[in-house]
Amino acid sequence: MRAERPPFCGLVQKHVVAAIPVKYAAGGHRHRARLVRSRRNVAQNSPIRSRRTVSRAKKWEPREHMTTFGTKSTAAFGRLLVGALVAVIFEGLSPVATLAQDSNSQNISGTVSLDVSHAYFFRGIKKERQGFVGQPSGDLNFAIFRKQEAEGLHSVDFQFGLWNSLHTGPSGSGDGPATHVKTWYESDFFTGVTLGIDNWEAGIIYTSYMSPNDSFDSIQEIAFSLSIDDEDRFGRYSMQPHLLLAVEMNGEADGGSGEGVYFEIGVEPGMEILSGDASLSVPLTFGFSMSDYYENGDDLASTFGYFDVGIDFGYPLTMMALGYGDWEFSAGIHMLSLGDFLKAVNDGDGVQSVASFGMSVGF
Amino acid sequence: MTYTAYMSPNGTFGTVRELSTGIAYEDVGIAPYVNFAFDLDGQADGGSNEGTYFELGVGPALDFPDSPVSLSSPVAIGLSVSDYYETGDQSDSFGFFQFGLVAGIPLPTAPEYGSWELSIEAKFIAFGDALKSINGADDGFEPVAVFGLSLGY
Repeated sequence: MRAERPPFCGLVQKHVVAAIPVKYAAGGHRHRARLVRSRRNVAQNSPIRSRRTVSRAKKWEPREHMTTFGTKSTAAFGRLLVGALVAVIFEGLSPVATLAQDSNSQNISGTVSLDVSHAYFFRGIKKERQGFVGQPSGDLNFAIFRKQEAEGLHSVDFQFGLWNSLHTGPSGSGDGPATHVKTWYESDFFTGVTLGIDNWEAGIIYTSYMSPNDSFDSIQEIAFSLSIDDEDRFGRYSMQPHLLLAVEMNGEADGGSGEGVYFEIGVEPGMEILSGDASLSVPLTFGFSMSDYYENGDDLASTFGYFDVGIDFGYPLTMMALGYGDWEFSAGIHMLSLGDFLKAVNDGDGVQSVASFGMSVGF
Repeated sequence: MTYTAYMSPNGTFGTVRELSTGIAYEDVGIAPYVNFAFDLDGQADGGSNEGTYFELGVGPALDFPDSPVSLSSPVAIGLSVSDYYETGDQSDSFGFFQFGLVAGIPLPTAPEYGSWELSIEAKFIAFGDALKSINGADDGFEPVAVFGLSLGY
């Protein structure tokens, strides 16, 4: 289980791959948009291709486009998606194919990453805070549709992947409930679709959270995300806000008595540093229970879940030899302020710090 | 050289850690290969000792110049060098003999989406006494069909 990061709104160029809010860091506190950093992201924008720089040159569009998302654009997307999928399966020229041929590009990209930390919190819920936490993951992104102009519906992406969490602490050893594959605490499968509409990005993601070492029962979830790239409107003061609504369909992340609904709102202002060779962002996130998300089935339940503030650093390793993908080092430190329920889950500690390091390669 | 950790999330078997190495020669028609595998921890046979496995095989390809479909007919024999196929206090050397036919069918997808291929395989496996016992099979012969989809990009 992971804490979400909203997808990046920024689609600077036509082949910059849209993100889906699926990748999260050790501790579940930090949001990952690893899928944003495809090789094309890196290759076509120099030299930094962090998500922050990806979001830079996005045009601000009139507000009326916002209202089209749920109506005309949605219907158009349905038609485009069906047509594009048919085109993928059987040879033919989809809008994406035409665009790709023009630019001699491809429409498949992937990311492999590893994050390490001393703790793992998922949406504020303590999973582990002892020992070593390693979180390898991989995903593939298919660009289903691209339009030259970043206006209206200009991108559709399909993604899927796996995310894992390996622990050496009590949740990954014989000291806890773990059985057989003890260190393999969690393995998630996720898939979803991301739409780029003007400077908005919307995603729908299905995730199956599973525990190979049987520490928790499987959870199936559908999440809806919405984010906006306000860079062009507010320049260096852009906030990159996002919303996330996650609905548990089967199983409960809190281990409570009923499936819950989770709501998240956050911003992530950022900047380029080191003469543009690296990026720094300060994500702030609030997590709430809309219904039964933070409850234990008894008398303990909270609407407020947690507040998370952090500093994330991204440094593309441009010294890597050409042909071996786009490597990036990342590091972050976060502070979580937990509500009553999560504080109780976290052994009575209302404040929790989580630091992590990561390495990813996009190809 | 390959390290593999075989794990069973549903707890059907205990984790097996293995180190394997092999040589393949693909420039001749039958494409012969040999593989050695060493149990470092745990046993694939569920026995009492870590074992060593040896496999010898060929994978001759059948060419059809006018067809995009590729065919090959792999043949392999699997042997226990030591303790790989254990039953009780016994350890058999012969594990299995396998032959089959594999068809690879490229799918006509747009090139921007990589190379997709459908594979269909039919293989027939003859087991030795140890594997018959381990598999709980009355006869020593098992047909297996495999369908697959791959994407390269």
